[in-house]
Amino acid sequence: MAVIDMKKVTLIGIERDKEKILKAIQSMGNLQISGFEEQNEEQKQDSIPKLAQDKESSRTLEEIHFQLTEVEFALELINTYSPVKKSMFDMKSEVEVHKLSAALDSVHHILKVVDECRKLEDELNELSLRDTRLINTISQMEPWQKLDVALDKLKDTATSRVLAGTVNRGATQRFLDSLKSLESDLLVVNELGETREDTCFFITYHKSIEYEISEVFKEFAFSKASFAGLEGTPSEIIDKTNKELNEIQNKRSEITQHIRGFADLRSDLELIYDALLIERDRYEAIQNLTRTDYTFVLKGWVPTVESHRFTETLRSETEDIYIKLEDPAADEDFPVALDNHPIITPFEMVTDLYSTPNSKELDPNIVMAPFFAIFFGIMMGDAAYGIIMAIAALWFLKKMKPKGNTKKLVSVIFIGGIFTFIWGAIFGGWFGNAGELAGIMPIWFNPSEEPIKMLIVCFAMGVIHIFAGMAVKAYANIREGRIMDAIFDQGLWYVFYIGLILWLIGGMANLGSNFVQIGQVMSIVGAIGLILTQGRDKENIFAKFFSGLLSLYDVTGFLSDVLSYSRLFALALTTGVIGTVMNQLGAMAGTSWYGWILAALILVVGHVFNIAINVLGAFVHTSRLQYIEFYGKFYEGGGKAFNPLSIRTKYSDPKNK
Amino acid sequence: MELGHILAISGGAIAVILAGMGSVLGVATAGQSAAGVVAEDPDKFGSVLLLQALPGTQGIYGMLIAFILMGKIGLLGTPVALTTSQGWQLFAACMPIAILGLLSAIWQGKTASAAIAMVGKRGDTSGKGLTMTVMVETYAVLALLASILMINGIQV
Repeated sequence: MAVIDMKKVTLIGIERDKEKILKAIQSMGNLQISGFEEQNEEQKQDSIPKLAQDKESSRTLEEIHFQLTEVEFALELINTYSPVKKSMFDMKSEVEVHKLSAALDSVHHILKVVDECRKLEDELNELSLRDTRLINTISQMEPWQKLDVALDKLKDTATSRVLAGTVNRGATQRFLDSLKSLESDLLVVNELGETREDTCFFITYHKSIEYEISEVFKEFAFSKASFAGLEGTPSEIIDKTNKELNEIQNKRSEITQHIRGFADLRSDLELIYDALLIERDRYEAIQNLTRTDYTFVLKGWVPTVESHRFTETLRSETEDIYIKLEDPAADEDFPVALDNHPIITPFEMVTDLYSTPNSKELDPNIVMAPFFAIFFGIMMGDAAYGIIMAIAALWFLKKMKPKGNTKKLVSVIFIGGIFTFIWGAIFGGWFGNAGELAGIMPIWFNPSEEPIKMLIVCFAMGVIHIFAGMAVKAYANIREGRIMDAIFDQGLWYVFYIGLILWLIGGMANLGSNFVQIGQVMSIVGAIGLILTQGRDKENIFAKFFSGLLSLYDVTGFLSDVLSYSRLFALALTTGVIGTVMNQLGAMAGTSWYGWILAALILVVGHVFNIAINVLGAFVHTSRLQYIEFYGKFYEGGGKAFNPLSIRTKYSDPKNK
Repeated sequence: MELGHILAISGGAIAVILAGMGSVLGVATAGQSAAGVVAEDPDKFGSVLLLQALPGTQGIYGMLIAFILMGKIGLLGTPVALTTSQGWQLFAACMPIAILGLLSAIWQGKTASAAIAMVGKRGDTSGKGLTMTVMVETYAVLALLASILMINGIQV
């Protein structure tokens, strides 16, 4: 019931109608086009002449991809310089579909804007390059600022040497001393400034003492500075550079101003982007079609319930069209779409996280959903938290109108919240121990006072859950006509397990010898039956017997499956104890007026934290119980989700009139 | 203070410390992988964060045991008299979650890290990664339950 039946579609149309037809299909959104390879595989049997993949559309597709990146670039640039504040609660604006396709008419105009954006960005990049160069010049000139000689005039005269250079800072004093010890009138030394490592000097001397000086230079590793390409004194250069930097700054703000001016176009750009996305999806679909010179062939899947609307709509678009609808072959896989009651639908998300059901099996969601809700509720196990979760989720659903998986997740939390409330009331959890302090009695019992009882409850739930899984498998076997399998592989196990459980409980709880005896008989009958039947597909009699005997070993798997449900208790305790701890912390804050404020703060933050951490814990552990313990019994999965050609956008929320 | 109290409190402290250490290491390991994946694809932040959070629960379990213990020996209200033997019993009862919390959180962190890398490569596998990671936690949950039941069962 829940996996929707699909019809296989073969559609042949005239090439010139292709755009029109595909547009109609896209806006209906109910046809999944099969991949080209998949379509071609059947060609051999269909004895259609060999058909080529549509080459022309791939050029258009490339163009669309290019335009998409261009528009995306412009949007990013505009968003960098003129950011919009977007809260996570912002909703997409609604746009009518025909408006979106009309937006494409202005694509060339928009691309011109994008070009301009590219140019502006290039300019900005160039400016920042110059910027770093100029800043370098300034930091290079700063230590030389005291030098009042133009750097390009720094040349030797006929009789004297004029030079600027540096010496390691640590050696400065010794360098000066050595020069002084020359006791020469033919030498002028000016100490100018310091860089991080060196001291800068301006030195003039007569060529007659060249030798002595050069000895000193060598000793202290004096290195001559070169100022190639620089004109004017260092301070002049710094002034000039600063002026240039200012200019760059001005220019930059001019450009960013210009970019900000494009902010008005943001919504246009987003519209175009969405329109291009729709185009892209369609052209990607066209890639999968086969064509001759004048016609094209399309193959795909349409839900049976939609098939009438599908053919009628297309026939109203054009008369020159051939549509064939077939049921899938018995062994043929088709894309899977699910149809469940609105209360069950959100839980499809849980199954999809594991694996999409395949097209031949039953949709497990209807059986899984109640268990999920119950287990989630036990693990959270706090009535007050349940109310808060349900209200918060409901508010989110009404206010934000989420779609897709977000909607499903929030709905699961809403339903989970209701069950959390119920189980919280049953086990007496209200904000941790707050309910207990206020005298609210648990409807049934308090798990932390009777842990063994709680454990038994959890194990009982586990047994029911696992038996339900086996029941689904038995049903599937019967549905496919393998009644013997259902009797041997599920029925006998039921007898065996139930027998063991009766035996065990009867013995422990002293329920009388009759009870134990029934259990013993059932488990022995079950075991013998299993030994005789579990090896039935083996060839010789010994192999049959031994695999039958070995199959009894599966009882350990059953045991560990059941024990796994103790996590229901553990996680329920976690919620309760952390909540209680928060209450105690709050109580410690004291009774003065600021103590009350502090206590309120601790309680609000603490309980919200507790809800958050436990929703996460309850969700993953409940999912695990479904995936491993429950789905392990019957579920195959591995289906491909139905993914029709439809209108999908990023920024706007398209709606048909 | 009696030796019994010292032993019991040591047990609780060790549970918090070891299980917490495990969670620190586990969450950190997973977090490093998560940062790598998010650097490539910021949209995966949500599913990756979920995986990173998983090894964090062991630390909470350790703290849980410490609080149950404190309630048991009346550390938050009127102290209960404890013999040395009872102290040792409570100490021993804290060990399952202390040691298993430490180990399972570290290894769960590694599994989470691998699962995060998997989500990085194939975005549609977060459910499977989540399941694999939660498998490791099972044993921490069992240890938690054992510790709770033991503390509950010890007569003081």
